[in-house]
Amino acid sequence: MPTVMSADPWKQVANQAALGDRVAARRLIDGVSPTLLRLVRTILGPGRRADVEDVTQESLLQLLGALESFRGDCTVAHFACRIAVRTAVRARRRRQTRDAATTADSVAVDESPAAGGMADDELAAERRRAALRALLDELPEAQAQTLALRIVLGCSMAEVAETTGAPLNTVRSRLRLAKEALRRRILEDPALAAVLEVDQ
Amino acid sequence: MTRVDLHPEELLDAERRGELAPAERVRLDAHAAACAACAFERAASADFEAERLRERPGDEVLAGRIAEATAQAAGAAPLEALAPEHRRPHVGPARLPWSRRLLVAAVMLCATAAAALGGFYVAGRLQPQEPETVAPPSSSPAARPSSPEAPPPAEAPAARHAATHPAASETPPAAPPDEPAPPAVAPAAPEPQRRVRPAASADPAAPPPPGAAELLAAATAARRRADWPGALELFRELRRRFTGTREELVARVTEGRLLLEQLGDPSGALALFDSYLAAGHGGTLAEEALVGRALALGRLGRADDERATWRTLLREFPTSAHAERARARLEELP
Repeated sequence: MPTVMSADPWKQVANQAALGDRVAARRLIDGVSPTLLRLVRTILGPGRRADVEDVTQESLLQLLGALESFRGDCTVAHFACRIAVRTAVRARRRRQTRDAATTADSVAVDESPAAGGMADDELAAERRRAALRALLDELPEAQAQTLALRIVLGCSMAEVAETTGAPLNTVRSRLRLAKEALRRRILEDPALAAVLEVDQ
Repeated sequence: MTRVDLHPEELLDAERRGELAPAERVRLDAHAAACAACAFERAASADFEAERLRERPGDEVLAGRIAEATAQAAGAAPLEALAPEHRRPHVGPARLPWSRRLLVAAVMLCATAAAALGGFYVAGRLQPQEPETVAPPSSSPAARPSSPEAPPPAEAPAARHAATHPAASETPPAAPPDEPAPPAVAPAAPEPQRRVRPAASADPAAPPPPGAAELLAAATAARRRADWPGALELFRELRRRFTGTREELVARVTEGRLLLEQLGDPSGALALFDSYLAAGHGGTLAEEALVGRALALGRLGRADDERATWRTLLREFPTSAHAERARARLEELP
């Protein structure tokens, strides 16, 4: 796919950065940081500003360290996003281990301070996001990574397989198990089930 | 609610790509009506995408500050080194609390180790997989072209919505106000460009000999240039002069990988991996040292020891990125 690959505007910059070009590294950092900031914040959830900064930085450093292994099979930006998803999911789980009494995701969305100003659609969307974030902390890590890449970043099955280094059938199996856990969570949460208009 | 175990992931993929045929949409809708998980996936994917694309007041400043701090930690060029058209608005020096600066330093050490390991080391087990395990599809939607005139940091899914959601740009139209400086915290010192030469001269004007971090960075750079002997020399100098430091411990694993993968010396590699593991410090590279040890034992034909090492890896690091490889190898071994 040389034509497609050559159209990635960050590819050359990333190649130069991988070879130790400090200016290229700076361009890449500056270029992808807004996207990674928003992505990391999306996964960590509201009220995590300090964590968002840390994890975004961590993701950027991981990206620089991984450039050498980047083969150009996707865009550089997407490569960076995959790294950020994995970094953020792990950060969530580290934080949960460290701080068992995390509250941000356990507080009912309806009761959160921001809920009062939300339209119904946005409230439903936030309820779904909160449910998924909580599930990411509970699932086995491989399943959590798979689910996050799939739902948060919108990766295809093949992209998840590529990112996690797992065979496609393994990804399929992980996703099936994650969805089973998701289904249980939905059925245990009447408000979530109502949002999805499913029977309990 | 009917329990559904088989989910039409390919149809969900096609829907994401906007390539769902009418008949396929009917099938997918029918499935989602009975499957809460797939219904959730369809709705939540849109929710998260909207959230990812939502810029908030202050994002530009915050992203600039994060970029500055990262650049300093990584030894990247200062903002002033960029051509004007590539600059983000100046947001002042990164002034991070010590706790975060320490975190950055720790991550950078891991990132350096990751680079030194050529993608083998999964820093904090967060890195992409080993290159040989990746078989990406050539038709990956993430590989879609985008405008070279406006390098989009947005990822492929965002690009699919580029018409309605403008991607972040390197050159925002106006500089935001300066970020107020947090009190009493000095800005992180920029990392000097690491250029290491053997300190053989007694000239008092000669630069001081490189420290452990400089040696590790220089060894990594040499390895990147495929200068295996040069990298080996630097790794060994680091291990000789700075025994017991964090950098030296990292070097045991990175030099081990070099010996194993590039220089055909599995015995030497094994000794280094064992040395790292025997240090008993619970180091962050223990997982990688175990993998290296197993690979070295495999090269040496020591099947029983290799098997035991892969099992140790699976026991101690059950979620390792190398777990699949370990299981596959255990099945292969006699």
